[in-house]
Amino acid sequence: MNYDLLRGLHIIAVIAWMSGMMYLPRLYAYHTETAPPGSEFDKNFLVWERKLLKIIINPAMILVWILGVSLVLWHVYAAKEGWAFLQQPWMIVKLAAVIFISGWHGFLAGSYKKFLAGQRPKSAKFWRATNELPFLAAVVAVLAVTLQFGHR
Amino acid sequence: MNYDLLRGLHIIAVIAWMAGLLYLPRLFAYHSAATPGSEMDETFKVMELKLYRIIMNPAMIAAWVFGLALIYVNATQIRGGWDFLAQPWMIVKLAGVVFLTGWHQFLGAARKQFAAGTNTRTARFWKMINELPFIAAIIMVLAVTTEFFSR
Repeated sequence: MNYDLLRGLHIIAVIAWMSGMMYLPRLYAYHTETAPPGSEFDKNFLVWERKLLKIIINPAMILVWILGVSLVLWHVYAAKEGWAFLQQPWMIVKLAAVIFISGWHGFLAGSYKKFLAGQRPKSAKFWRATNELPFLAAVVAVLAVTLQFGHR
Repeated sequence: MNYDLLRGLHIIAVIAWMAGLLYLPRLFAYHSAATPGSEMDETFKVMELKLYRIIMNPAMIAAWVFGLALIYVNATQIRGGWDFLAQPWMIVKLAGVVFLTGWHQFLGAARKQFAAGTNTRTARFWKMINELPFIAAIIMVLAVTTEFFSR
């Protein structure tokens, strides 16, 4: 498969994934604040959150990983660069960001189950304060791959 | 300014802009079902206003500023001229930018209607058009990464 096509598809999947990751906590904040368990508004929020997770965030994450791993394999096998670039500082930072965002995804998915069970796992303030964490990680991850800083 | 830094910042701004463009119509779809004046209606108004003012407007401006800077650096330092602007892939990309910017304004006008309680469009309409900007983004990203039909 064409490398630039693969790269474009990876970027597109990241856009979709990040869209969801940045909006779900915002829904959680309003959900916690305005919709007591069992209310009609609560049921609506649960539907919106489930759709966002199941239709956008989960498939997008899977695509990001498949396309991302494909890009790594392309460098290793098609471009015959070997595996050494995985130890470059910028790549380590990038991979750390990927692991953090994936873990955050898991945390958000777990929180949805608690909302579904009628719990309010965190305060609205917590959801607002942490809302930008995945975006900050994405900023670091994008700049790591475009700049390849600390290249040795 | 470093070209790769500029490129990275442009991508980041696009991610934030797209997040808003993809989510606002979704809020409109749910908002259409809320009774005007209800608590739900008021909550949606706040969510829409914040999304538009705090995320979408600044992100669109940043995407434009970094995008224009990238064109300038390409023309003056990398491609040695402005000819690439006439390449088919670049025309497609620029058409996409114009479309997304127009779409942004359309959504902004719709937000004002919701705020005034005068929205007439249905939830079905908002759900149907929800993915249009994402389709545009797919075409645009592939246009710049593959530079298809370069001549």
